[in-house]
Amino acid sequence: MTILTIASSKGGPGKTTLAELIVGSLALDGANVAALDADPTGGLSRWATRLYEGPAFTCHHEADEARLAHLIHRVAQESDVVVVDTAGFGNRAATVAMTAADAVLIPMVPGEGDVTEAARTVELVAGVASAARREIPSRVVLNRVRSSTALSRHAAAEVGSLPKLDTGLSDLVAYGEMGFSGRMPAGKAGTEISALIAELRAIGFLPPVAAAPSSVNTQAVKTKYVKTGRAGR
Amino acid sequence: MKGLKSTRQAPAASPDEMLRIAGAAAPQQPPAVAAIEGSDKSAMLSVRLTEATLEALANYALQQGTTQRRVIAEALAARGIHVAARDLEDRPPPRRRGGIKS
Repeated sequence: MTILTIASSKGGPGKTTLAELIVGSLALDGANVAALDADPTGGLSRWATRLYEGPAFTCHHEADEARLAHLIHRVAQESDVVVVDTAGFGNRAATVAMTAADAVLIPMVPGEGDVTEAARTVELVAGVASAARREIPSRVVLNRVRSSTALSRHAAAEVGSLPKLDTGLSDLVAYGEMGFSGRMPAGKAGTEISALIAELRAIGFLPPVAAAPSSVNTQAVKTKYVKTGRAGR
Repeated sequence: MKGLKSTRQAPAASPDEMLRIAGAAAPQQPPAVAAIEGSDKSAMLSVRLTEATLEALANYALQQGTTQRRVIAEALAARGIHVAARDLEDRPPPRRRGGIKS
């Protein structure tokens, strides 16, 4: 059981896209993965139920912190990996998801506000870890990177002191298309997400070996969606 | 499966601990969703069940170290029914008023 929380106190850095990529990739690998959407806007659960095409995973939508805590506790015992997507502002549900996490990913796009909020989120995770008296590692994930631009290089340098993944996600149309097609990206985007998953496994943010795919229904099936709250109303 | 042990692990913290730690680490944060409409006032629900069911409920709550009220509230939440956060928290043990003296 591994709980991976995706968080940032700023909106728009690609939290939901990152969650979709990780959950979809792990499901393709045959892992017993569950997605928890703690964002009141419900972007991840909407994508999972209406658009996603691939091996099934369970998805819950819950943004109330008390019910989320119970849900995480229960789902974690039923799944090998739980990915929690959170809302893009400081809120109690996101902090609960950090508290429950084995590791936290903090996506960040190149921009002054994003660098500042990524640093704040790293600090918040450290504060939660201190209160919980256990280690909760976090990593910044650079997103929408255009490696040839001075802006991306500068933003990467600005987060130099923060813990950061070596792998980032480029500014590719394929990621946006995934949001409408429900299919995992191929080509360069597919290579990037494979590298990202490999790095997450290497640093212990994900289990090192995927579950045997023999027990997984590899047909394109709709994800089981369990609505557990009235978030987003 | 018979004879085989599960290797599933529970998260590092219980739900109550998660809420306590999150509250301690970031006490000023707002909820992600506005409070659901409806009165915060509590009310009684009386349900007639067989004694065997009530016995099982009481035994389960005892084993879990929680209250029957909370077991019911969690079951409702698990079915997707909105349950106020307050109803998912353990209440302090009731103060004994009168009662049988041994």
